[in-house]
Amino acid sequence: MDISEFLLSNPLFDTFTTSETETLGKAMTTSRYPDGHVFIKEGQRGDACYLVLDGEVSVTRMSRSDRGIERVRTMGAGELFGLIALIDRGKRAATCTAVGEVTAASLPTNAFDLLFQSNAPIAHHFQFVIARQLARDLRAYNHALVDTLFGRKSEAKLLLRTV
Amino acid sequence: MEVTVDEFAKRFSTLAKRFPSSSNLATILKSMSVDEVPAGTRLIEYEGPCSTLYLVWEGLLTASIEDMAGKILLGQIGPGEWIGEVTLIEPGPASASVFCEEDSILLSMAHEAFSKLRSENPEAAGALMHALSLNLVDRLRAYGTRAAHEIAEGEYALEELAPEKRTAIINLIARLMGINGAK
Repeated sequence: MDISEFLLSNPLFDTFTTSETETLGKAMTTSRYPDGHVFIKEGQRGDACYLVLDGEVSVTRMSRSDRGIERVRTMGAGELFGLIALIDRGKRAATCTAVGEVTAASLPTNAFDLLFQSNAPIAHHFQFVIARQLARDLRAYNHALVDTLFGRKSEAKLLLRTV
Repeated sequence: MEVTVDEFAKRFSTLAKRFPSSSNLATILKSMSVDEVPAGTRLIEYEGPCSTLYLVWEGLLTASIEDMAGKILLGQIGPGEWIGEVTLIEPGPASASVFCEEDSILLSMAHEAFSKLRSENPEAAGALMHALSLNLVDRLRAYGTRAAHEIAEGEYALEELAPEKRTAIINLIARLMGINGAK
């Protein structure tokens, strides 16, 4: 699959030029992963972020209420994951597992660092993509939290369980 | 009034420490407005459009959330604290209302100024984005804590809780929403 074309058609990357999507595409590695492949394991250090190109990825986490493992959401094509640990280099916040065969592009942490050290426009555009995704997530959680306080609970609770 | 890099770094030390270097702070400060805002001004309307980062240089702001079910005072935002990092990056409906409780001096950066900084000085904009992204990540991680999940899962009416419990919950909500945790 041509990653650069995929990136061009993804609204997350709408600030990218064609040549920038080609550069980012070259820095990423596309692979097919079998059903059950664990991309990211909760509590471990992260070494890459991923972009789903095809298929579904399940996000699970250990319950904060001692109820074992909770399946919190499923991601599809066009979604980025592994961003939090990429930014703060902390431990992974959840486990991400392939549901069926998945095609995904990975960007290793060291490639991410090299990209930023280059100070090229593409680095800043990618940084903005990440910041925008984080901001969108946080806004959604903030609004869900307010909804729970004002009794608009069902959808809000579902969303907050994905954090 | 003009704010120097050293003064900014001292007043907003937590934020300033998150910049990869202080070399871009002067450029970023030039993209900010410094305004005197009188007490009683409503800066941000809950669920209204918002696209500006506000940093409190002097004075005091209060943040609250309200709807038909009532109003909850979340907390205060004082000197050295800020609000609006989400909306600076991604304009959209505000998560809380914010009033000027006292006459205040605010540093602000609107999304348009941020976009201009991104196009004219991407390195400085990148430094700001790096600092703000670290804050966003901290807040996202806070949402994953047991305490945050207990709030989300709880079946309670806030107004019926004991005062201490109510205060503890509101303080945690405020922290999750980036209020009173910024200093």
